[in-house]
Amino acid sequence: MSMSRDNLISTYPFPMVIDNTMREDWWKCHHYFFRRHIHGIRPTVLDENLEPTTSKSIDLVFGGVLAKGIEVTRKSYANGEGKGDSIVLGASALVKAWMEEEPLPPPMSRGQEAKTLDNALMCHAGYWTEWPLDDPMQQVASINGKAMIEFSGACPIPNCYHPITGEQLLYAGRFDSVLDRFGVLFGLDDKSTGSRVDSEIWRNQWRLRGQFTGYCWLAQSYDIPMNAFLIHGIQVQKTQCKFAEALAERPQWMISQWLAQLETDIINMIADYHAFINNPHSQRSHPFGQALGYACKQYNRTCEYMNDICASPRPDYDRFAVTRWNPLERTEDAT
Amino acid sequence: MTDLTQEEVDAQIALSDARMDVAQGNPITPERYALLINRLYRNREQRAKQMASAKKPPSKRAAPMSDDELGALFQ
Repeated sequence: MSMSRDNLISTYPFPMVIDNTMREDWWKCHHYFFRRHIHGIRPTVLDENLEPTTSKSIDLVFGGVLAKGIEVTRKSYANGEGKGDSIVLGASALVKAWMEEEPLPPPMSRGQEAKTLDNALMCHAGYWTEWPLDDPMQQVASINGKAMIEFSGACPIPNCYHPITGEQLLYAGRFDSVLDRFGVLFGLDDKSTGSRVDSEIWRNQWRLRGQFTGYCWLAQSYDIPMNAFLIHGIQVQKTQCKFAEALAERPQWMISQWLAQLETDIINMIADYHAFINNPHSQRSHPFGQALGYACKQYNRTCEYMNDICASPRPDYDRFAVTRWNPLERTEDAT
Repeated sequence: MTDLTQEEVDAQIALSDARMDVAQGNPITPERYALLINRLYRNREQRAKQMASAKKPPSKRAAPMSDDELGALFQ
């Protein structure tokens, strides 16, 4: 039985806020974008009480927990705590955040075997040896008397309006910190990885990465003059952590180019959405097209929508729950 | 079940103590933190040594094919 247009709009709402994750998902596979951000479904697993819950990624948990420890250390130091006390407070926050995430699924790869609480603590401790809190090159910028730690913001996207409400769409972003290096401001993002951070391959991957261009555009919309980003790479291995810094410059022409591309992408998303809600069955293929390529099995990981949706003659949603990605919180909101 | 080394036992005890502090709503004390990182570091060093000295099974080298085997391929 087909749904009415109104039912389609309420079941498959177009997002009000776009972020880098959404844009990257759109380019990965339009159908993945549709399932994750418009349909809003994620696969579930049964928890200890046999209740369905969305599955956790060890990699994401590890990155989030380590980020929490680093954030608390930075904030404590900015609030006047000593170096040692700030590091201990950060480590305590890290342990607390890890315990809140437990139980975690078993590791599925050698890389995931290194993502343990003791390794998170070692990475946190090593981070402050590599980038000491009192290093003049690592000083957090202070704007209007506020230390710029965990910057988050949202800004209207020019020429992009919600296909149903007509409201201007927002672009949202959130990054770890703004550093002040002798009067020049740099955005900072910490990235944990299993890959080698002391390699050209790791450093070069950020050169055009839209995530950081978008952050610079957002920062500028808040009158923060930012044209470069620093990436602190944290390589996590079973028996050691390594650290390296990469610089990603973002001149104005690059920011303008990124914004024009974002506008075009959103216009294309809206065109697919119109096709979907006005007559979802008029086309032979889904209005949000399937890439049917690398995205189905990327980094040796099967797309979460493959088995039950794309590779099934009739989609089976039993294993899924609606939990929408919230770009402002960077969390999944269960609805 | 594999036997734990002394470094692993020490590291696990230090980690459990830290978790208990946090579970009780307190930050880890600086003394306990220093002990924890020290023990985790020693455990990691020990593990690295073990991994470096672990004997890898000799890899099998492909033996050259005999004349009969080669001949069979083209029959």
